[in-house]
Amino acid sequence: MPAPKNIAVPCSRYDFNELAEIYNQTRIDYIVPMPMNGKRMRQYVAHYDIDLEHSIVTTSEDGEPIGIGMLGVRGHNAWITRLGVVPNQRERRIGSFLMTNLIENARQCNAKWIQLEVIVGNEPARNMFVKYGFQPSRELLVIRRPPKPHAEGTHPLVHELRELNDQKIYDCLARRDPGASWVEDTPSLLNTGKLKGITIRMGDKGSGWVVFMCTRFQIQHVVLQATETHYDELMSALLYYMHELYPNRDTKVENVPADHPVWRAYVALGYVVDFKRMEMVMEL
Amino acid sequence: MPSTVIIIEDNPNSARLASKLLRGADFEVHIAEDGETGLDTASEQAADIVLVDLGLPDLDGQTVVALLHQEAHMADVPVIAFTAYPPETAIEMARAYGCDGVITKPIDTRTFVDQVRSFMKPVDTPETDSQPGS
Repeated sequence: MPAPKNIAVPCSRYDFNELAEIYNQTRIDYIVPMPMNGKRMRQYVAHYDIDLEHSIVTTSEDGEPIGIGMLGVRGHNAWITRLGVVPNQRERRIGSFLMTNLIENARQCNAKWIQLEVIVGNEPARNMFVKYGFQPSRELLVIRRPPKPHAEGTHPLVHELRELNDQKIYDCLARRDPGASWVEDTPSLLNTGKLKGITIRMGDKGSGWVVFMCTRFQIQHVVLQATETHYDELMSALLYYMHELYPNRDTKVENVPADHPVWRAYVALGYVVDFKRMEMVMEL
Repeated sequence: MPSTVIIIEDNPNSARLASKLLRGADFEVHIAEDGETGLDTASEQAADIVLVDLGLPDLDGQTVVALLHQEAHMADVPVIAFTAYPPETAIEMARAYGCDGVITKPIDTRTFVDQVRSFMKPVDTPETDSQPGS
């Protein structure tokens, strides 16, 4: 009996509610449940520069969606995300079909590098990515902190604390250290359009700034930068005042490199690891 | 009077099963399929316990738990993480977010109702006046 034929349909043929529903069906039994609704999918596409024309839904011959994979494109860089196959269609090479199509689409978009993340522990997916030539580059942490008052006696002394206006926020992001993951990179932050920032100066200990997205309920996309001397102290102080200014927000920070010194400041402020991802890259 | 439980859960099968078991044990059940609806439901219904799926389609379940804790009328209401997270992560998240307990999915239909009951606060019974002659 011939193998069933898979069909690649551009995601642009579906609305955001449909895409969210297809995606949710592929992740129904996933290690870390991350369902979306149409609104969240729309934001995801906008924030992360998802190219819907080159992202695909795989359907069976009768048109039933059985898999999805999305492609973000920024210049010569591409990013595969939201990849999944519905549970009853797995082990039929649909994941490979999606990957082959997405990589080809990335080439069509003139991408020279392609990257993705896989949740640590998802060995079948990781093995498939390795077969396609992706190499692990670094472990990333997704971390969280619930809203809570600061512990007594932890108030850091600063000589100057200022909120940043939009122009200052752009200036800070323009000179941030390189190496952010796709979702935390500057284009992602600028796409959110809800950025806040503060800068502090701690006398001769140096200065630093933090830029973050602040919504009604959450703080996300936190970018911290400080002078190297007294790094930990400055970073902790920046986080302290960010939470002091927005005490009722839950905070979620994605893709903190596990070996980055900033992690020490997050620990000091009571962040916990939600889950871990492995970033993987490939030259096209 | 039946105890009231709010289940904030986007997976209809999971919500239906939990609801069926609890209604069968005389609970009044309200289901909310996303975080915002769950927060609205919690502000409208006097719940005795709230089960929150940590993976919701609009707000993260953890954020919903945090917001519930900020509501004064929820101060004495147990909030339980209801999740398919791996147990270790679920427990750590629940602890970090001040949940009163964790129920992992898929649920065990034999023990689920007892699990829910075990997290509930004992109901205060009015003191009977035992003064003679009163």
